[in-house]
Amino acid sequence: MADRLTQLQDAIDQLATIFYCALRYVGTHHDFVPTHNEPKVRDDTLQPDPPHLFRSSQQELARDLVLKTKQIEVLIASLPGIGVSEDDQKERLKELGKELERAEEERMKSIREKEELLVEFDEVVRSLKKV
Amino acid sequence: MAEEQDSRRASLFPAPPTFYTNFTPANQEKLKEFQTAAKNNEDDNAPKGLPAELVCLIPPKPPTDKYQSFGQIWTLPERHPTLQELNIPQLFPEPNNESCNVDRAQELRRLSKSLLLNYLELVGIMGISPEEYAEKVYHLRIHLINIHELINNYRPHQARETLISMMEEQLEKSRQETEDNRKACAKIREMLGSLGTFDAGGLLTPTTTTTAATSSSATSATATANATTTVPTTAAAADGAGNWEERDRSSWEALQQAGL
Repeated sequence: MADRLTQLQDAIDQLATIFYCALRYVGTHHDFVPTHNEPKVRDDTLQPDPPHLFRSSQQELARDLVLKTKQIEVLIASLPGIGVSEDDQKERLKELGKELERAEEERMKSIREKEELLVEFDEVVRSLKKV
Repeated sequence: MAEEQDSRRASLFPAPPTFYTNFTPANQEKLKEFQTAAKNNEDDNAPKGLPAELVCLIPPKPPTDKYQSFGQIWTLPERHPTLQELNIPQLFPEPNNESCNVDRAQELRRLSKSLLLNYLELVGIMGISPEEYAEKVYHLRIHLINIHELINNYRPHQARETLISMMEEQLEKSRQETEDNRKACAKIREMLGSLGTFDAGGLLTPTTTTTAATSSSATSATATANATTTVPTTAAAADGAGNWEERDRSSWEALQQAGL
C-alpha cells in the first residue's frame, strides 16, 4: 500500500478525472429538447442515452464525485504527524534511537542467558541419558 | 542556428556538437603552445588571441547558478522550484515554523473544498455560456497544482513520521523477543528444578541434582558428571531404571513443547 500522501495525490488526480468524465458524459450523451413547435434537433455525433439511463448515470457520476471528495477529506484527516512540529519529531527520533540501543543490549543479554541455559540443560539431559 | 540547437538538445540521443572535429592532436599541440605563450605574457585571458578552432578546446568553467541538461533547466544547488518561480499563484500562506503541519492539513481541506466549488461553477458556466470555460478551467488547474505542491511539501514530514513509527515497531519487536527469551529461560529453570525433585525419588542424590539445576553451566557439567558416575554405584533397581527412561522421554517431550 502506498503511503498516505501518495494516496491523497492519487485521489486528487482521480477527482480531476471524474471532473472531466462527468462533463464529457453530459456533453456527449444528452438528449435534445425541442422548444415550442420546432422539430427536435439532431446531431449524428451524439448518441443520446435514454432518459432513465441518462438520469441514473448522472447520479452515479455525482455520487462518485462526492465519494471521492469524502475520501480525500478522510485522507487529509489521517495524514501522519499532524500537529507535530519538526523539532518534536527530531527529539522523538533521538529518544527512540537511544531506547533501541538499550533494548538491543537487553535482547543480546537475554539471548546469551538462554544459550547458557541451553548448554547447561543439554549437559543435564546427556548425563541422564547415560544412565 | 538556435532552432537547430534546440532540436539537438531535445532529441533522445543528441548528435555530438559540431566542434568535436577540432579535437585533433595537432590542435591540442597548438593550444599548449598558445597557453604557454599566454603564461609567459602573464595574460590570464588566454582565448584573446586564440584562433576559432582552438577556443572550444578549453573546457568552460563549471556553472555556479544553473545549467541546462537534456532540455531541462537545473538550479545549483538542486532544489524544488517554488510556485512563484513557475509563475503560478500560490493559494496557501507560507508555512510558519510553529504550527505548519496543522496549517497544511487545514489548507489542504480548504483547497479541496474550493476545488469542488470551482468545478460546480464550471458546470454552471458550461450550462449557460460554454465559451467562458477558460477562466474556470484555469482556476481548477491552479487549485490542483497548489494541492500537489502542498502535498509534496509535506513529504519530508511524512518521511520522518514513518521513520518514527518504524523505530517504534522495531523497539516493540526487540522488547518482545527479550521477554520471550526470559520466559523460555524461566521455563528451563523450572524444568531443571522439577528434574531435581523427581531424581530425588531414587536415581540421583538430591544434593547433586539441585546444584546441577541451579549452578552455572560449568559447574553443572562436573556435578552431573559426578552424578552419572555415582548412579551405577548406588545400583538403581531394574524397575527404577525403566521408570527413569519413561520420565526421560516425557521430559523431552516437555522440552520440545517449550520450543527447544
